[in-house]
Amino acid sequence: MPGIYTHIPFCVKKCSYCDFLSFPVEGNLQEDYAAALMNEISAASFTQEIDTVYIGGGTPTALPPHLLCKILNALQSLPLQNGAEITVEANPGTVDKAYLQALKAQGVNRLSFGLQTTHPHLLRTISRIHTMDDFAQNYHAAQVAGFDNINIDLMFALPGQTMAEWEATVQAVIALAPAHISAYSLTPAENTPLWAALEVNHITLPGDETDRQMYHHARQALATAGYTHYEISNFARPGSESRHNINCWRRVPYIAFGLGGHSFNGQARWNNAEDMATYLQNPGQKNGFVTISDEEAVCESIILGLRLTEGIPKSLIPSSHQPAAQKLLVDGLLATTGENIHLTPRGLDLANIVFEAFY
Amino acid sequence: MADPKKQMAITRNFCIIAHIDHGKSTLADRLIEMAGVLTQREMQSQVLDNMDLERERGITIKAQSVRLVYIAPDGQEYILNLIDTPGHVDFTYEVSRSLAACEGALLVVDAAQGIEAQTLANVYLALENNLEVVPVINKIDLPAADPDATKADIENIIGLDTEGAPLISAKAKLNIEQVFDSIVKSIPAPSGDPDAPLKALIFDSLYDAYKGVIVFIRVIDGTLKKGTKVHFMATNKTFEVVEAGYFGPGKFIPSENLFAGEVGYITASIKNVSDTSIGDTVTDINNPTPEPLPGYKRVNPMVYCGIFPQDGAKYNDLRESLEKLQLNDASLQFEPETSIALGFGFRCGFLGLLHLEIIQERLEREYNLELITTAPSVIYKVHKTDGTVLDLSNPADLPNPSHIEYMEEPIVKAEILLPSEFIGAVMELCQERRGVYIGMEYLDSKRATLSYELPLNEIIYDFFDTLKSRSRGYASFDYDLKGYERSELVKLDVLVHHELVDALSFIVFSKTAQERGRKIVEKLKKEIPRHQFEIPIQATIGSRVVARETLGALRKDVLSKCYGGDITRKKKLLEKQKEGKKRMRNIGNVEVPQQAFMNVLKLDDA
Repeated sequence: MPGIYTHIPFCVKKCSYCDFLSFPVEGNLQEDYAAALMNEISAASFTQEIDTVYIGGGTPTALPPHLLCKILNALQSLPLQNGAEITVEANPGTVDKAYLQALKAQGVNRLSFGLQTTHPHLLRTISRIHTMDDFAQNYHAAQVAGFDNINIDLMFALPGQTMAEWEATVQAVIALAPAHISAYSLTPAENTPLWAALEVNHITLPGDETDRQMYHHARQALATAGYTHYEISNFARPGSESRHNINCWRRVPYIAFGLGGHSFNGQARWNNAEDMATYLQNPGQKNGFVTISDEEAVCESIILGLRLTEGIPKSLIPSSHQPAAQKLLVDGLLATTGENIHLTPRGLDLANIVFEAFY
Repeated sequence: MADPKKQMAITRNFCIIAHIDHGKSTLADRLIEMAGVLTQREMQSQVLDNMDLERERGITIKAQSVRLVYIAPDGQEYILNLIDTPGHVDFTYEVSRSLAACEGALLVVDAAQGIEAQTLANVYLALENNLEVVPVINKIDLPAADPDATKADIENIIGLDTEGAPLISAKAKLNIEQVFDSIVKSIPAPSGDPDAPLKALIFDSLYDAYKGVIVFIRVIDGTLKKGTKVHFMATNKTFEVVEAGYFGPGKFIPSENLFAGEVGYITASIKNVSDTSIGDTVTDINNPTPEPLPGYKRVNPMVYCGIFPQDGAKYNDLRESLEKLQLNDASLQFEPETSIALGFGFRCGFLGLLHLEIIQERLEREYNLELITTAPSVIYKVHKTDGTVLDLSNPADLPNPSHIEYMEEPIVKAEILLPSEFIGAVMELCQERRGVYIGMEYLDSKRATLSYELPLNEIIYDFFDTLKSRSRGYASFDYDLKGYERSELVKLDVLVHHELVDALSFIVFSKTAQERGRKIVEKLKKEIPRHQFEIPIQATIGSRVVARETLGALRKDVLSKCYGGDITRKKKLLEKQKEGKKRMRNIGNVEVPQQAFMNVLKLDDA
């Protein structure tokens, strides 16, 4: 059953590390965008029921509530499965109680808050607009509004971040007891202010050594607190794993709406226009249509599936790649459990080496 | 048929001595133009330097020569043979043979810059060959020109009379007729006996796909014509002359005869450039001269290095390209070499560093080859305990130290001409490079020549660049091989993860070995990507480790985010990584990027 991704390319302010498609909020652009998006949604047809909807960005909640609700309304008119997972990304500081209640009323049943870190100076370094207070208020309001499936996004290995700060962040988040936690190592992307600052040595990142210490700490602390580590960067209370994202790693088709959205129907990938003017003119335009060969499909299944800690069935690995798999088992990057082959703790740190071997 | 004696009386054979950029090619252009052989329209700029590379570097590699017909104001016709000379320290012997084909030389000096060391070296070479040296002051139209100071310079330093020296601007075509006047009045006509047995000097050669080797000669005695059975005395080869002639500007003009005193070419279906050795004497096998001309020397490469294709599949292309270059360059030598690190390639021998660079650039530019070049090496004489002597050009071939009695290395005599304010800095450099101070001479109050004896292997290790930087570009340098001297030399090896990287081995003076080893391992550490395991990088002499760095194990190689929109991007990244792997060389189980070899082997701050 396919999932749906909807992209909202607006932010109050762009974060220094972000290379996603997003624009500052200005003029009538948001209204025009919402209109184009709703056109695209209403023109789509599905032969199968949809079991996950994910609205991401940018910052979806940078839109005024009425626009986001209109978009949700349009999505609700698609053949959604009963009990479908509907997630909205919400940045702290962009929502209030009323906004959250409106989302709840539109059928949203999962929220994802981009907290990143609990330390004000680190939030400033990565140019996030919110404060820890903003987050605490929003998180509380979400609970009051009835959201019980909330994700908190965290980032580690931030410029200047100490191990103690990271430990404190993890502890603070565990204390809130959200259903889901994502913990990402900050990865500088080219053409971002962060990259530029690193280039001229204005700031420096903690080394790989510290990065891994932080990652290992998160794994250990979150396990102790009852979270299952189910994907390289994702942790959840049993049963609260992100269905939308698991589908993506299991190579279940997904259709994207909105600027620059990437779709996959099982046989091919394509993407929407990445230029705002082009998209507004023709929201249904499909670009970069690429058919996936059987061989590539197997390879994708392996490298995506291995991101999940339970791994993939051993039988998925073609005979041509058996020697490579054998070597990775010997090197201690892969291990087997039952009929599955999966990354070891060391393999989680060096996953690219594993993926490369199967590519 | 022309009378050889009369012909001789109106012939002038000369060359032009000038520092790079002092205007040799421009003056040659003017002479060719004004002698009326070519029309203005036909004039290609800088007729003499015909290779792109030469033009870019402003130097002449291959001598080109031209015969001019000049009619003096009094109506007298003259035949002027301008013989071009290669302009670099690597080609001193070739220069000396070109000079030996002349009776005179124009010394062209830039009025704004004065004399440089290399010019001086060539002037001395000309004087040794008993040439009449005629000073010409060029670039007098430049704002910074100081013709009087330049003349004084020439008088003080070389001791030449500059009384009637033409003051010209080749570029602005100023006073060029004075140069012609000086040539016919000051440079003697050739002497020689047209009736004596044939005696001609080979001063260059050129390979032509249709005619075979075209041999450039100066006839000293006798006469040469089509059908003459010529004998090359040093290479001991005999050929029948198919064609003889003169050098027209940019073309060959066949002629019946070449008389004593004349300069021209012969073809004789010669397949191999190596059969024609520069400086060799050509005679008639049926009426041979008893004595060859003096000064012949077999030229041997002084600098060696390994040249490998980056893409192993291009090995045959590299061989073919080297063969083509060798057709016109007998001093280029090569033989197959195999390296564990770099695969199949060639060990190549060159006259010097510049020669090496020129060949490398031509291979890359003209033959589109991507190359890895190993560190240059000189030839060491290895005296073995069994009494035999090994000429070692590849450090990898050094015998076990227990079989070595002692080693010798080539020493050169170096002359450095420099403004006096840099004497201290340059002396320091020469000391660092194990130089032995021979002497110093002040040319005037501001300039001096420093004489040092230096090991050649110190010169091929970024000496030029360091000299230039320490003298802010003002010092110029010339050297000549002096001979071999016993020295404390060791082979420095580099081990990556305990595996020898053969391409990085080199011979080095024992006292500097540790420092060099330290720099190499530091550099290498930065070039090798981290692996799953820790990698020791060591520099060793025999079993002794003189420097060590440890490349830590790879801690993290993972993309923490991969969602729907990231998959295409992620795949591209993996593809790129895979592509990069292809450019890796395996040293044991360590993958080393090709770029690492190139960067480590780069001479600058190695």
